[in-house]
Amino acid sequence: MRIGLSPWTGFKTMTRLELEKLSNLTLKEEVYRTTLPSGLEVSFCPKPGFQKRYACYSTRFGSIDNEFTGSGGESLRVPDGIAHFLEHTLFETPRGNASDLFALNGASNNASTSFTQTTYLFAASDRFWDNLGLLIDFVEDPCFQDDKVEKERGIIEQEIKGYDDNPGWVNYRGLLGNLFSEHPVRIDIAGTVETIAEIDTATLQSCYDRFYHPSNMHLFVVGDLDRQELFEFVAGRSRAGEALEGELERKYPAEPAEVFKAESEVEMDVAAAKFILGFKEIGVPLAGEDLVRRELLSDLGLDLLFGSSSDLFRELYEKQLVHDELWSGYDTLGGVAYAMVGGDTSSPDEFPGRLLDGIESCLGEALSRDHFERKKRQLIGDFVRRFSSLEFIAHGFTTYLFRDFDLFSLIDLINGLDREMLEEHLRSLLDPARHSIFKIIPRSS
Amino acid sequence: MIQNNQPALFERFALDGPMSLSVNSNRKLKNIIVKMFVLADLDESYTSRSLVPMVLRRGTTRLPDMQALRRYRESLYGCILGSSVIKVGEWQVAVFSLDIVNEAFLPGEESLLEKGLELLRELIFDPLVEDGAFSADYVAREKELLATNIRSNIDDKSEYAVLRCTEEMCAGEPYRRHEMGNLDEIAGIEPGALMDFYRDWSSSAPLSLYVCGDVDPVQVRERVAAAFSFERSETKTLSELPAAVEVGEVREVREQFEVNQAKLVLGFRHGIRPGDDAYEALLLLNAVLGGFSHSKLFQNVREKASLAYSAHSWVERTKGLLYMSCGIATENYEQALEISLAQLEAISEGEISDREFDASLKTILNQNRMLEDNFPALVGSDFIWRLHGGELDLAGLRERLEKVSRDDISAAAATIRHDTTYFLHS
Repeated sequence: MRIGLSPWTGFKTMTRLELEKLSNLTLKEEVYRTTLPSGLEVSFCPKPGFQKRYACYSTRFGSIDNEFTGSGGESLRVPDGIAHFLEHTLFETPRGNASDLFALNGASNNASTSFTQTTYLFAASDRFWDNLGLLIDFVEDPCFQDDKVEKERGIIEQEIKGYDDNPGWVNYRGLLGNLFSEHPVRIDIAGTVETIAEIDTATLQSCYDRFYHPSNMHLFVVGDLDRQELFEFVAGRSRAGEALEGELERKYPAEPAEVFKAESEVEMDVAAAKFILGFKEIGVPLAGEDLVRRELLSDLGLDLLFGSSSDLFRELYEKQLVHDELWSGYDTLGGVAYAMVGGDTSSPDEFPGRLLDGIESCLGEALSRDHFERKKRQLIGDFVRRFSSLEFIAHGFTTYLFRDFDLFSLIDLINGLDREMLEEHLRSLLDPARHSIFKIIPRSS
Repeated sequence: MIQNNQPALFERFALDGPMSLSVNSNRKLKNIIVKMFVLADLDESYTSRSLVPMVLRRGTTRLPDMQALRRYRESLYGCILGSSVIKVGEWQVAVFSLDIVNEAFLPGEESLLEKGLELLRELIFDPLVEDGAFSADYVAREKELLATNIRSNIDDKSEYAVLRCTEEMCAGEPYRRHEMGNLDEIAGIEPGALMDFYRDWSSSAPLSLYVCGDVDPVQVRERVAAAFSFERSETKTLSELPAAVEVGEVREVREQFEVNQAKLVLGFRHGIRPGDDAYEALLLLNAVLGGFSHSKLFQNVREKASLAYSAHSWVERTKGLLYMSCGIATENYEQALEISLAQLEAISEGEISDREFDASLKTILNQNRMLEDNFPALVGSDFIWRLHGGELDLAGLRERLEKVSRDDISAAAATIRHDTTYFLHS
């Protein structure tokens, strides 16, 4: 439930800063947020009684952002994998490696890069302000050095090779490469050994200047802290920043509606064959309530059709076509989306086709009122449960804020779902004309 | 144990027979977490014991198949029901868990926890029975799945390398057994014999139940007593903690696979257990050696030599093992091995910098405090301490950690023996 904007004063270091308060009375949770003069958005969720205090500093910069406009409006194309490379190199500060500095404060820290977002985080029970200052400093004050970039290249090469031996990852990447022919979602988040060879301090700096501008970032803090002290601290510590020069426009190539490849497979040292059946969507909104509703409908619908309570799963399981449960998922990014259902099978030739055929015949029954209402209860339960986790609150809010949506409103969206909109969405999403299959086959030798 | 004024983490209740109940009542959780540990020795029945929870999850008397079970769980706001088998030293423990939303956050709902506890009881103690045995169909399917799961250990090469290192290092000891069981023994398991095994095990095993959430402990005790009241036979006594094993020459094992990245795993033995004088020094030793990104392994293998993305160490506290592991290019084997061993050697010779010592102590103290918010981990940690005859006392542990000196860490390092080098390469 949104209580609305509540002007709140009392800062020593600034005037006229307003905090917006979001709250949910059922969950008994509140979030305060504001936008600093630099453009940086800052949010705080009080969690009295918790030992852990958690902060994550995120930018809307991920692996798909490899072509964008520079300060003069010119188009820049950067090497694949640069967002992830930048994440690694940002840890090198003039005072030493940021991870070491966090350790000296007792904090645990990490960072991650996805298709659309890079996040730096720490968790600490003690010396919170030292750690928050460190997080803000190292993210806001980069120091790209040739020798450090070289060292990081060797480490990332090993990281990429580790992923190349992971069957689940190879399967997922393979499917995306099959579904999409142009969109950068088909490129590995870390890039390849060849593309990261092109990265240098100049390319890193040019990405940093555009994507790490305060107006493109969000700082989320959760824990047992004083609200006033927190916002004062961040306002005093974070850079003032000048307005971003020129508009930051991300350029994604036009993606055809058809899939790039209907089917492919690779051999690996695995015990059982793995497969993912995927469906592709284009023309998906970048943000807003419609996007979030689409994600909810997809998750709910895929679980209704393929989850272990469905008739389709029961039939496939009884015919021994699937070893254990099927998993499913849906992701939207940069104007495209994909739905996936996967699992292990001893009949890799037969099974994905049977699954595809089963969708049409089971869709009607899966959408019955009883099944739909039960799944809605599950979604509500999952939503409530996750508020036990500080990490979920921080990452969930950030991800949704980057989509112009607030996490508390998700419950209203769930309650507002109906069967008609679900059926319409599923019939469009699971269009057999836009599917692809990627399989991992046990090595024959 | 050092006495302190901190409130105990768990309120303890003795229930009928061999079951103990531990309740952590807190305002932090929106859900209620319940875990039941069913204990046994890691003996020759380990494959059957691994199969039983898999068959149990297929259906109960009231909810006879996976579809019915899953639909009922969805109606309870998607409560999560879990069953798994873990290895703690040379004990094998079945863990059954329930994670259910606290009805205080669901307007109009009531008695959710009772329904959840009843479901957990059914899962463990009221399986679908056909002609006095487990369903033949369920047993056949789960045997097949267990075999696939065991074969699939090879899919993740990092974990597989650790598994193989353990098998080689502990050949001839019960600890060589994987908690999932032995592939060759699966075919011989019959539904009737499995039911007899299950009845004997479930009626005589020591049981330990934990409940965490915004609950009234006394009320929970009543509900648990009502849900879990049944006839039991005499409780079996578990074997003692494993005895120390002498280390001879270092075993070297190499295996070839078609991989992009090789995995080096080093296995070591220590005799230090929770409650021992040197236990806190061992925790700090691991933090200096390879527990974190400030540690020697990460700094020297990854940051200085640029050989690996991951390089770390961890401690197994009940059997008394320590592992180091890294993912490298095959040709860097000698260099990575030399650098890794040199780090432990350096610690035993007293080479621990102020920064390493400081960061290690602070990081462990931080983890210790944050454990209070992580209920599954808190339960797991207390459970292990109780197996060692104590109980988890976070404040006491912090006090003892703060008294550890650099000499204590070096002394602990000097007692650690390198047993096995395992290399999975291309």
